[in-house]
Amino acid sequence: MGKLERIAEKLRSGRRNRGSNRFGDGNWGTGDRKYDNRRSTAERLKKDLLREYNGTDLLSETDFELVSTEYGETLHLEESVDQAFDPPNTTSADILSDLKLVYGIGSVREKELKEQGFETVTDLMDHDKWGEEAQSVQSAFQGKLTDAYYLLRRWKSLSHPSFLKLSGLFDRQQFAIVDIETLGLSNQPVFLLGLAHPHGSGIVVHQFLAEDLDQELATLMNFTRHLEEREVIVTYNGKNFDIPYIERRLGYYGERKKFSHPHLDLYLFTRKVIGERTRNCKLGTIERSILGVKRELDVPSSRVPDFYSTYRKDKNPGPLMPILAHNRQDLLSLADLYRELVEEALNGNK
Amino acid sequence: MEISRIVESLKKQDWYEGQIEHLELLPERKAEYGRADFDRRIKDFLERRGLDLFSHQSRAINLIREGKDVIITTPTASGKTLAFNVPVLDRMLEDSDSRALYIYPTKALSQDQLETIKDMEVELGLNLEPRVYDGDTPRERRPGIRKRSRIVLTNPYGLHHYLEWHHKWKDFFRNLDFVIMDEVHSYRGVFGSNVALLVRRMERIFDHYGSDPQFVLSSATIANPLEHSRKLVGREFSLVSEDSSFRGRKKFLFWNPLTNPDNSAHNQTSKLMAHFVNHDLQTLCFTLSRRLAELISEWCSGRTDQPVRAYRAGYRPEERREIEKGLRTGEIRGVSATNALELGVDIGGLDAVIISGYPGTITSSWQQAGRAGRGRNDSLVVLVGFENPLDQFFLNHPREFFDRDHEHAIVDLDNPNITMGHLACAATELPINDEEELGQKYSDEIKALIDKDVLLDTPNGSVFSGTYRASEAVKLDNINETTVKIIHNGELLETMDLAQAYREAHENATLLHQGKTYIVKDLDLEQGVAEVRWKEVDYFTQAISESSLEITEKLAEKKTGGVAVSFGKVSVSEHYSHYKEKKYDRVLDVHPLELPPLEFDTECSWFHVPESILTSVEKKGLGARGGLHAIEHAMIALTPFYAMCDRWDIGGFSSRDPLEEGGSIFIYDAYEGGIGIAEEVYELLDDLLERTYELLLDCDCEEGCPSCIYSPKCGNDNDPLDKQAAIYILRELGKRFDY
Repeated sequence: MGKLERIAEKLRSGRRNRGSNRFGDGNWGTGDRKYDNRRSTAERLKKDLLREYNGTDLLSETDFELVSTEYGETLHLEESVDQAFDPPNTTSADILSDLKLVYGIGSVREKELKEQGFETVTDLMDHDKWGEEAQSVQSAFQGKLTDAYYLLRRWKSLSHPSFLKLSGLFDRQQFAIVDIETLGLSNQPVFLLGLAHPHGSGIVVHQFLAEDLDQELATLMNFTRHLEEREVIVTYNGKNFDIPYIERRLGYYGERKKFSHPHLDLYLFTRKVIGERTRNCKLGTIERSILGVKRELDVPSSRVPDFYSTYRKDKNPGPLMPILAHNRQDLLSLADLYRELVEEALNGNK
Repeated sequence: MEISRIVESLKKQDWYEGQIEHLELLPERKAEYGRADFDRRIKDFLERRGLDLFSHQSRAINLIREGKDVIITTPTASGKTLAFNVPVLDRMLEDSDSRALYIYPTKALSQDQLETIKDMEVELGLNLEPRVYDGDTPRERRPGIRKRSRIVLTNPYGLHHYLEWHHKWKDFFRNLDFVIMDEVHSYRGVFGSNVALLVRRMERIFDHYGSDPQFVLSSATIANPLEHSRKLVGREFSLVSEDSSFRGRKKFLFWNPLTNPDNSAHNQTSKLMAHFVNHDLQTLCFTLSRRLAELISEWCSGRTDQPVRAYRAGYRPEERREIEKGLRTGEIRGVSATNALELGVDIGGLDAVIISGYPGTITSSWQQAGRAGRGRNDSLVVLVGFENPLDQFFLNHPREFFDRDHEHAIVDLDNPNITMGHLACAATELPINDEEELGQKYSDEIKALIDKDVLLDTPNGSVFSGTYRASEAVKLDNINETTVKIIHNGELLETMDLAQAYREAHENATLLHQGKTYIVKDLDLEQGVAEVRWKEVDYFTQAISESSLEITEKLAEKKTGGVAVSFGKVSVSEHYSHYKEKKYDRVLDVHPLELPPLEFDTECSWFHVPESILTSVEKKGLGARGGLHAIEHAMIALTPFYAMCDRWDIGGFSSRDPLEEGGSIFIYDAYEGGIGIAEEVYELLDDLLERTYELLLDCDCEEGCPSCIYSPKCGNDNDPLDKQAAIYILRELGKRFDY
């Protein structure tokens, strides 16, 4: 190996220069037993998969199709799933019966006003004090739904149940559930984007996959095209992670994009509503305790970059399989979770 | 009292035995003034403050306003800061979108300069929201600074990580008109080369946003300012180097403590300091170590009734601010400090500066001496030479000091150990589309990165394909980041790095902090915490270490004329085996230490000197060990010119085999894992040995001097050294290497 190759090899492993060897050993174990255990289980799973899928190729083992776009080639998969996704049957009147939508009105004032006979925001439009504000709320709900969303955003935090109720005003076909898989947590490439949207009585799951990282841009653009056909985004921690991450990667390639869709980040609702009942708010925990979902042979999120890297290196689709299944299940679980949260919001607390 | 009278009274002290070896009179220099053109409001401000522009300032301002890239190398306190703040603020007044980036080598300097800018801003009625943006900036403040601050101050370590998020700095970069880099003489050797590549990455991003800012560099005096600036930034600079500020008369004394052997150099330093402080001279003493800074101030305090403080990098920022302020206002009459106070922090000018021990470079010496001089008054500088032959040489040959060239700052843009990491980082910032994107052709390096799957070639350029963060895999320097916290009563007293903790915070060590003594009760290396208890003691501890080097893997070997030359991996360790309890200079007791050795693994080149040569050296009555040691030093002095590094980037070791099987000389990289210098030495060893031989032959000195075999960082105090033995050995080697 020449000198340059040796240096590149050092960089490849990302081994950081450490100080005294007393503090970091550069070896395998981290000392965190749980982490190390999960890692060794994952290693075994990876080995089994490599063996099982040895000699096969991705396109023949899955339903992915190669698509040519102006940004290059990318892989795309579409699957119909018999799963419900039901926004609540909200009417404008339902929403507008919450007088607290009007800036300045809290629970106490609302009670007073309702006792005086003002049942909805519409009723308040001629009120001396609240008329003006009530009118702007009303007109927002008469215009584009996204306007209503942004109006609500001004007074309410994103975890407020009224957003769940508001989502019922949108047509179910307008929803896009989104979840991505990346090679890291900050600026590393995105290789898989999942988008699920209701169709007919079920859900259609799309997966946009970069066969290798040179397809990242084409994959991102293909995903973007599909996302722009919908009006509402549903994610789990997507407000802070998934969506900004996608925008960042697009920016890296010189494509400036800002997604301005109304965004239902189910993590925010979960944390508020269900969070106390479970050990933590990780999607996996919520799945098990609330949704009753159990995943077989799942790959932990922390091992995803490593599995994809192995697939890239060996061109063996084995390690990629559980990632695809994981991503698919994430999307379906979110559909379930949405239903649970809507129920809580409608029947539960105010 | 007048300085000459104070010096005379010094000679009358009972401990004076002719220590003053030399007195150099640096004459008064009248100021020369100049004119420059800029906004009326700034002119009014300068007038209000009574600030006339020196001609070097006005020259710099004019060049900058002409759109040139400028490097200013006038000394500290010559008003360099104003020379770049004026054109920057002038532009800010003219263009309400204009932005400027100020880069400092340390966080402390950023904070200090922020105050200066805020002050000017208020006076000019501007609202620029100048802010420091670095590791200490709270998360929630960052978006606001990126968006609204028109002047941002930061450091290379932070920038190295922020560039990946350049889209968050879009507005800032688009409107960037100036990049100011201060103290750029610090950016040399491996660290400097890393910074140079960081600058290339930055320029690439500026280009992406369509901006082309001017660069203004400020530096201490170095031998090669134009070359250095060109290497750092990749442009041709205009040089402003003549200092036209006023300089009062300066008396520069050379003090040799050896003439009074009953008093150690450190003791004499503290006595000098006390003498000056008691005669109402505000005095700053530079010491070679943090511990000495504490000791000197402690001993001095015992002899004065004026407040005398210590100052070092490990203090909390509030403490440092307080001392800096005290110096400026004159309330604090004496400070003993490490070279942390060498860099441009504003402390005003002092009446006297004591340089306790030659600081290692001419550049540093003049930086330190430059702190003396207040207004029109005379000032005093005293260089206290230690027993080290290097110091003694200067004391005995003052012209060698005063006429000596400043050091060269060396930057290497071709070392792949450095450049390839930055290419990977650049790829995370923007896809690499052109092999010349970082200033010069790196085609082979990019190809190797693609071959090893660090980069992936795509139709959109070469992208980074790793799963980790590239900027975390690339370190800018070799400073060990592990810090140990010193805790007293549950509160943080100060911090130190690991090596320092071994030396000064081992169990039962006495730790001095601002004149108070503490005993270390417990050092927990895993947690990085040392617990101390305040206790008044009249002794202090000093840890003793042994260095050793162990070859762990030989990677290459060649034989030239029967002499084995090797390259491979080594483990260098420093073992603190015991500590002494001392009272002033007397050793009271010695205790063993149970500390693991401080090790780091690196790469090294070494060669073997056959026994036959060493035997004949000894037959001639010369010292074999001294000869090997001298050759080691001389080679280290020359390596920077062969391997494009700084002499602090490498280390050396020499040994005579105890079983009488010849001797070995080792040259290793001072960077964990190696950085390519020792590798270069392996390739060029023949040339290097020949040049070393020539150096020693040509050198006029008899026993040795700083130009040949005296090293400023020898762990053995430049002992034993035998120049004649070295020449003999090199001649014999020459027969085998054929030079």
